[in-house]
Amino acid sequence: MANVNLSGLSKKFGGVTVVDKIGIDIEHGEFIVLVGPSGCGKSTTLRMVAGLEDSTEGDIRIGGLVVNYVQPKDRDVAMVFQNYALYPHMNVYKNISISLSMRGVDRAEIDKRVKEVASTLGLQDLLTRLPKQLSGGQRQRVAMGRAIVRQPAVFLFDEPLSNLDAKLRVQMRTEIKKIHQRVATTIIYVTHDQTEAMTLADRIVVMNGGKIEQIGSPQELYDFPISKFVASFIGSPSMNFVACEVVMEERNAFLKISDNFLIRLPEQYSDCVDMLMEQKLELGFRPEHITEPRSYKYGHELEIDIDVLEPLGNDTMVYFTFGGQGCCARVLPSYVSKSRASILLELDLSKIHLIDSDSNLIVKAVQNA
Amino acid sequence: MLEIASLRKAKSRLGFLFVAPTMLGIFAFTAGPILFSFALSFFYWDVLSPMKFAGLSHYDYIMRDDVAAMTFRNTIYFAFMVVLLQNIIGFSLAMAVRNVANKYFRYFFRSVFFLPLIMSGATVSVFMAYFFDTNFGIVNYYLELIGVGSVRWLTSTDVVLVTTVLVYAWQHIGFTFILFLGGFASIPEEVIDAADVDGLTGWRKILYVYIPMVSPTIFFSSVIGFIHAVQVFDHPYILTRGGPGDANRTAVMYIYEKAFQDLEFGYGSTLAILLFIIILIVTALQFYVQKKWVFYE
Repeated sequence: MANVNLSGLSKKFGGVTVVDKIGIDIEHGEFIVLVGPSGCGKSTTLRMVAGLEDSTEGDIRIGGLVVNYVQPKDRDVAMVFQNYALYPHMNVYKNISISLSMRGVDRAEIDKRVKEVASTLGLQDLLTRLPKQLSGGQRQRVAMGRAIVRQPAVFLFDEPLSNLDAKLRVQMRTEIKKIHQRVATTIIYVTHDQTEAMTLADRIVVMNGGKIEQIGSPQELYDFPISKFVASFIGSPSMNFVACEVVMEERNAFLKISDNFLIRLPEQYSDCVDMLMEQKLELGFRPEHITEPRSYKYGHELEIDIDVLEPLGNDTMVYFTFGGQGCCARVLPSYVSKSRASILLELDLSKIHLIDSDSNLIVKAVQNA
Repeated sequence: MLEIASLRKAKSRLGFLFVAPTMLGIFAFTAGPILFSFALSFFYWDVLSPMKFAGLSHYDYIMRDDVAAMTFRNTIYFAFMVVLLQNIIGFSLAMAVRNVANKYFRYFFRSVFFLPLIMSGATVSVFMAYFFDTNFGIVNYYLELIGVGSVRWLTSTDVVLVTTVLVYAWQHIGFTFILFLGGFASIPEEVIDAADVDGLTGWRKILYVYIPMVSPTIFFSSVIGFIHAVQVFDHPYILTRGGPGDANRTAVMYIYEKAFQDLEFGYGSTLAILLFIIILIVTALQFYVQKKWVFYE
């Protein structure tokens, strides 16, 4: 395994900047996920690491060596593609072993490694089959086997689960996690699915418009997003945002939601009231932090009219309008019923975020900067 | 039940009605002439006098006809060389054009390589005859310039058939070129990327990825290319009228000469049937062997 370092990395196609001076340090054995919406530059970044795209600016280092001008086959990386990219005319055995043959590995050694990998991935009975005779999940396992057998310094995964159905995706996610635990190789994984990112990653790199929004562990990004984009991208369903302003009433600071609804300003913002009063703000809160009344230490109750109910089995999502915006709360199924038009919810104020509407940055982050 | 049966009959009658013009055309212009030709191969006929039954005498004569043997040998050699050259050069050109980054250059080269195909064989042969002229041709001019010396392209029995191969292949490379461009376009880019990462680069990529994945295209161009090449007439006819001697004489030329110059329609038909059988055998062989090397996804 090796560490990977990207510094000042950019990619331009003509006049369009697709990746804009990004820098990431990835430690030995780390599982890092690049996540973001379509077109944010995550796959382009991965392809530059693989050597399938040239960079316009910046350096890529693998194991401390600059590899910008090194061919993909010499970078000691192995890649798993979204559409599997298996050689359709080769059977499973040949697909897995071909890269070893190209490197002049001894036949006996190739046979041993292929059978080991096949056994790990449950492919031992499929070695003579062609890709067209396999299911999607089997093909993806062959693609992973092809990467694993090479024992590379870095694994690169480019949205490998996008073409699988939901159930298979969950299964394969677990397989990938197990593989990482077993081989402990550095993995760079690209996905647009934040659930995959949260469940797999040691650290997540959130990208948007070719730039890095934030890098951190899944819990850090969930609890302490630094921008509205990260706050809305991480977490499912995504965070609710409602316009608000800070006002003083009888020498106490309140958050005023646009329809004259007042919430006492939480303690964590007490030292920046003056600054907040001058800003246009949004209140951000996650659906799981507005629930049936639970007597939170810093809670605020509010009566809402139900727009839509979405029972999910273990939870029910309640959609309602608040501050002129559509919002979502997560409650226990037993708390709501279709016959009820309105319910009482409690907002956990210790978990809210304030966003500066001009910069779209979370207020605490602005303050610390 | 009776209603359904009668509806089915009405539908099939209608179907026959739609297919009838094509069937008539095929019978009138393809199957019919072939059957007539086959029948004619058992007769002596010079158009001017009535047909006389010949039995198997034409087929017997073919076995002793040295000129027929020569022309068929020339034709088979010509066809195999042309198919080989067209496939290799068409494949290489398509690979090269595919890798040209600028799209306008790609469009330009695509047009340029395809252009000769839309010319007539006669036109191409006329100007190629000048190009390959031993004394005044531009090819020999450049060969002498680089110190190789001039070659008797159209006047040497050893070289003339090769010249015809080159002229014909030059004109028809556009066909295989376009076929391979289409074949390469159907290869998923991710498979090429995977090959780069796996170490299948350079000639290895061509051998292990490109060739297997365009093997249906290679097969198709080989079958069609052979069938066309074996029927060549205008190139050898216009270049050298089949000479020197019979070195550049092809089967179709000999059929033409026997039928329309010597007025031996019966024997000409026999030669045509023999050519038909050879095409059939080679094509059948190609189809049989394709199971071993052609990959269909």
